[in-house]
Amino acid sequence: MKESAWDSCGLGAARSRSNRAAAWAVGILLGLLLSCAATMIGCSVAARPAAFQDKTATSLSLVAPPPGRSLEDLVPPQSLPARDEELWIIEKPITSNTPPAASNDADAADRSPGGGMLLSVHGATLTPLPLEKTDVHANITGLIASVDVKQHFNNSAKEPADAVYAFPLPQNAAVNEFILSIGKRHIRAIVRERAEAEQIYREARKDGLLVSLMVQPGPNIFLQRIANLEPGAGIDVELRYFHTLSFRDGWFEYEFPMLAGLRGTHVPRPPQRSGRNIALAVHLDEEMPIEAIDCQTHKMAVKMGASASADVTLQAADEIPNRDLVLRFKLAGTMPKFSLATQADGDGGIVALTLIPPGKIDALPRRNLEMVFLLDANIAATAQKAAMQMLGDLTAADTVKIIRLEDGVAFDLTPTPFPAAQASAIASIMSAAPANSSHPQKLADALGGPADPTRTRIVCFITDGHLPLARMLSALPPALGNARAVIIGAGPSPDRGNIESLARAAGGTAIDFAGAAAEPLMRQFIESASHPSVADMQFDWRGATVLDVFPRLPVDLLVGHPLLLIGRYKGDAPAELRIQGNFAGNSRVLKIPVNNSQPQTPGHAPLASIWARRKIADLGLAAAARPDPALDRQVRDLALEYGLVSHYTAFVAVDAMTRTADVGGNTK
Amino acid sequence: MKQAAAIFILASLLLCTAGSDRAAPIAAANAPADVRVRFVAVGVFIDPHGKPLACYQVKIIATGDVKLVGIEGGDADAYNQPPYYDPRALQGNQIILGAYSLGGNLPVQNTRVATLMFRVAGNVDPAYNATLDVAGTTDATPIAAAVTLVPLTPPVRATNEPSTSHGDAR
Amino acid sequence: MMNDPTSTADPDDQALRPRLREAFARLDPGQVEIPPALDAEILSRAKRDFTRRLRFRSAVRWTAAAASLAAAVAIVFIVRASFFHRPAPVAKGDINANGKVDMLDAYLLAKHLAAGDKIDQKWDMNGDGVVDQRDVDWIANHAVQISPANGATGGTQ
Repeated sequence: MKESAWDSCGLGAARSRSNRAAAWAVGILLGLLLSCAATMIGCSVAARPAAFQDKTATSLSLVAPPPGRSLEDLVPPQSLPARDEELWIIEKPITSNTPPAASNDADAADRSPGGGMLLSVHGATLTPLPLEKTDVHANITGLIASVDVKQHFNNSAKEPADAVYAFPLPQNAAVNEFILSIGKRHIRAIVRERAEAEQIYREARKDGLLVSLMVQPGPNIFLQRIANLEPGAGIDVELRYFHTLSFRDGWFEYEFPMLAGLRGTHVPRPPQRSGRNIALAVHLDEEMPIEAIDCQTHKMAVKMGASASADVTLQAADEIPNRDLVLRFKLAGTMPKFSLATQADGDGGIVALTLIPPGKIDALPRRNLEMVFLLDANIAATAQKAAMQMLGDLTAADTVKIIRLEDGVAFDLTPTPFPAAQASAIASIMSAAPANSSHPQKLADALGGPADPTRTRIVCFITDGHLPLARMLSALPPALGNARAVIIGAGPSPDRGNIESLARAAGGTAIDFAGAAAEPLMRQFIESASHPSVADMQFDWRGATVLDVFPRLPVDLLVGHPLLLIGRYKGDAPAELRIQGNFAGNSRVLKIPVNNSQPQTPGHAPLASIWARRKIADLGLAAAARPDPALDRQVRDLALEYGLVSHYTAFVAVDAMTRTADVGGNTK
Repeated sequence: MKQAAAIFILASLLLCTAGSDRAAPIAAANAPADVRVRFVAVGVFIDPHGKPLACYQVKIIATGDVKLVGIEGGDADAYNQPPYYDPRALQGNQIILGAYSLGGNLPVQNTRVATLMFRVAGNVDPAYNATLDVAGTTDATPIAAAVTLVPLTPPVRATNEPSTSHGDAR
Repeated sequence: MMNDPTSTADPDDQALRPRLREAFARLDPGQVEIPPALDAEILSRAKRDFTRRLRFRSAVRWTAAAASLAAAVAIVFIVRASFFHRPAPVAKGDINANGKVDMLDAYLLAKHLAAGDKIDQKWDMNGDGVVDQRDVDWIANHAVQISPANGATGGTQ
């Protein structure tokens, strides 16, 4: 009976199998769909690190990394405070009361911003073309100046001419707009690869067309060429550039090149120049109240606006001093000031952090130093002299190490740090032959000894700069660790370019030992380094992905050295930054919320341009240390993307509607 | 079913490949000596058909060996300044121009609103194509307008002949 | 050594079986004849019951599968809506709310600014706390952007 019953249910059993198979199929499909959903969620999580990694990264990176994990494991490598690099302002040897023209230091004049000069080219002869009018409008916010310059030139010659126009700008200036105006016509120049732009210039010139090219032959020199300029015609050159301000003795300084005449020559320049052909207006818009505005170089009219804004204009006069304009202003308050701004830019954007230390070190506790003198054997005697001079600024509680660098090999002359008070012993160690007391080491090994956590380590490299730059650029910065760096250029003919490159790569400062200001500069350096406003800083972007911060996140905030750190963020903008550190001797965490009250514009915005400029400079240093075509390409792509003039890119503007010379480029 | 799966996989691969595509690097302007190089100005004209042209946005694509070497504003005072554009567009042969004017003297007839300067290499004349993204009138509403591109010939002047006027495009 | 679970050689069991058989024999009233109709009825009921159970199980399975499928689809759409198509009533910079950011939007905002109209703070494009010419520039620059990946207009959202 049972068999019969089951047999009769054979169909049902088959149906049941079919149902089970269908259910399995649906289950598999469901599983696939759920897998897809999970994958999508996973993708979304990966694409939105700020949103999903917030809870992990946020709690990890700041206060104390968990046991077994280092900070390097927790934050993007580019964000790490690998170097205490910051904006060091080098005091000029020329005081603000002394016009640069009065000095015969042509090199100094070359390094400072200078006035433009349009020269017509007649074969090998350069004839200055009259600069009829200059209009300058500068907007200053925080540490950034956005400057619009319009200069009107006139070709008074009776025949078409080619012209070359040199325009020195601050070293960190980012030129991102160039417009050539002829009458009512305005032609915006295009950024192209430099070789490409130069060829376009040559071709258009040969074709008899009005064409202009702008290149950057040096770090702070811009050179503009104009071909086939019509006789009797006037042209306007409009530039827009951004740069960061200098900071000296508690004052922010804005400089504009107003020196008329050729720089870099010993041709005497008149002490006065016409004041009728220049108009200059500066608008200040700061977050903190402006305490004082001062200009010792020119007479300025100051109109204070709200507490944090002001308008300053050059007073009209028939004649004005023939010198660069330096406008200074001081912000109110003695406490350190911190601000954070972001600017969206496609997938991510720019983040800017401003850290302004207090004006004086009076209220700051002193921190003992561990001074490491790295002496270039090429200039042993001078290096020893400079080191001994710096030793005089140390206290008895500080310690000293001495390393001698000879042909790229380091000799640690003091395996155990010496108390700084033992000056005579230190002097004898310095003058001893290295072979007698030490064995050769790699620089990284010599500098990589255990650091005293209770002291601030400073590496003072005294050199003439005549070293293999690429080798030093690749060896010195990574060997520094968290030490601060100061590069002292000494010797009979120091290579200033190499010394400044080393200082930039090391995130430190350069001091010219031969300069008149060397002694006070070295003393100021020791004073500020031993009295940090904030020490041992650690940065927590609260889960946001912040990369490529320039200069690299510093360890200390020192008096006299305000910082403008600019980086790129991916995805969501950071809403807050937390800095853990030792604030005037007290360990605490500072929360800095984003405040976007600074005037910003998209596209060619100041922040984006300045960030790109710094990234380009960083890549340039990397390329100097390790030549790599990929780095050159990165620089080129970056400059093209941000529309900046660089070593690899140039502005070119062709007026294909104005043929002033006969074809063949026979400009007279 | 297998066919559908194959198509799906192929499409996915194509999508992935397309996603990883990068802009081709710019060729250096090292044209061989025998390649003819010339510079041309192309006027961007917009006809708002009698309505005041308060704003416009035009997409321009050029085919052939062309490089943009300058952007100029137009004839009308309202559009005298160089228009907005994306510098990144220079990596390719296309560009979007746009401008607006709050002035009272807005063009109502066919007007040159911008001029593009191109470097052209080779014996084949490039083709230019313009698409009007939008044109608007004073009440900020879209209007029907026509965009045309017209190559402009530079006036050839005798050497040493002083000039007081520039850029007569017509 | 383990015991064989199949072994029936348990002496107690062997002793129990005859006694059980004897007890059952005492209870058995004799031979019982089951009518074929009853057998057929039992078989018929069994078939009905079994078919009902099969249908019920099948219905439960399919309902569960459908519900799971619906849930999975819903999850997918929710995830997509959350992460790929965030609700964006008006794209950033789309002043006239026509679904794209173009020069009309820049003009419209510029016109309102020039007229001194009260401007909604949501058109503070650059987040600087004020709506001014820089926000107009933001929109205009955004409108003419070309995506490097596909060459498409960046302004359309």
